[in-house]
Amino acid sequence: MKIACIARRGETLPEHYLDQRIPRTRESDFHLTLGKEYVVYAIAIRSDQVWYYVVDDTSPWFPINKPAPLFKIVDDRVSQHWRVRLTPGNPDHRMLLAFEEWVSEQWFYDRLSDNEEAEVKVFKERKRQMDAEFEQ
Amino acid sequence: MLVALGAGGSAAYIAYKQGHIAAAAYYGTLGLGGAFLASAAGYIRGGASAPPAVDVADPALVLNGPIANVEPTNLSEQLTLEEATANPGQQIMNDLVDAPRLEANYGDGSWVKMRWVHRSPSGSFIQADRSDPITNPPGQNIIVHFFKNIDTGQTVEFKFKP
Repeated sequence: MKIACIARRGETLPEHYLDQRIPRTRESDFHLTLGKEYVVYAIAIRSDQVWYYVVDDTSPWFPINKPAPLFKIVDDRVSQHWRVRLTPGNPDHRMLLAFEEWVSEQWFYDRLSDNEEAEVKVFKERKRQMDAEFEQ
Repeated sequence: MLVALGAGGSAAYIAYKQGHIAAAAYYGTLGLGGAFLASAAGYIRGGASAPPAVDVADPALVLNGPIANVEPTNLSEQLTLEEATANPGQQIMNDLVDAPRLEANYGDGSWVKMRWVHRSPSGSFIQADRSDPITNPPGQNIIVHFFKNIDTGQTVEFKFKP
């Protein structure tokens, strides 16, 4: 799956994506490049929100969640590496579509975002596989 | 979970903050032992039939205490850290393996992992230290991760990420 950025700030976000406590506002910068295409490495769904995990313009070692309304879909094929998991009680999502290691190990993403060597190595390989899927 | 450090625990925390891990472990042990002896004294003197229940701090929590903010090593890092503490940042995730430790050390609430990115475009002139020459390296982002309690707004444990 590939998406293209149509807004790099929160000005186009529906109200229910905003959260003053973070804060996630209409002024928030999501570190994206307008018009740039991104491969989606995972999708998280919670209540009435959809979040795409992409490697943004700032932290190359892990994908980070971005609100779906910031993008349009340019390649609607799903990755053959994705697995699905229902995650009731998880504050980040109720359903997660991601590769095997991510959906099966509870703290995989926490460690990946901390730049832990083993998880970074796994993601690097998964990223290579998924990038290859959507090269055409 | 509430953790009462006591005198030994306080000394352990100070030692830990200063990087003296062995000293932290030593004082931490004193703190735990002191708490136990103080509680057990009445049992020993009074000849009670059952030993008292003792609320001893979990050693794992004592030794997995708060982590101090990273110390900047140059002017760029210092300015980035100031930016990160003064600006909202971006949320990375909610479901944290560190959540119990954060609650034990800083208080209850919804703890999330946050990120601040300082963009240093090519063409920026950087002087690492006053005595160093001014350099013009290629563009390089400086990334800071930290934790935030989104119920109270408290931010802690700032660290640089490569």
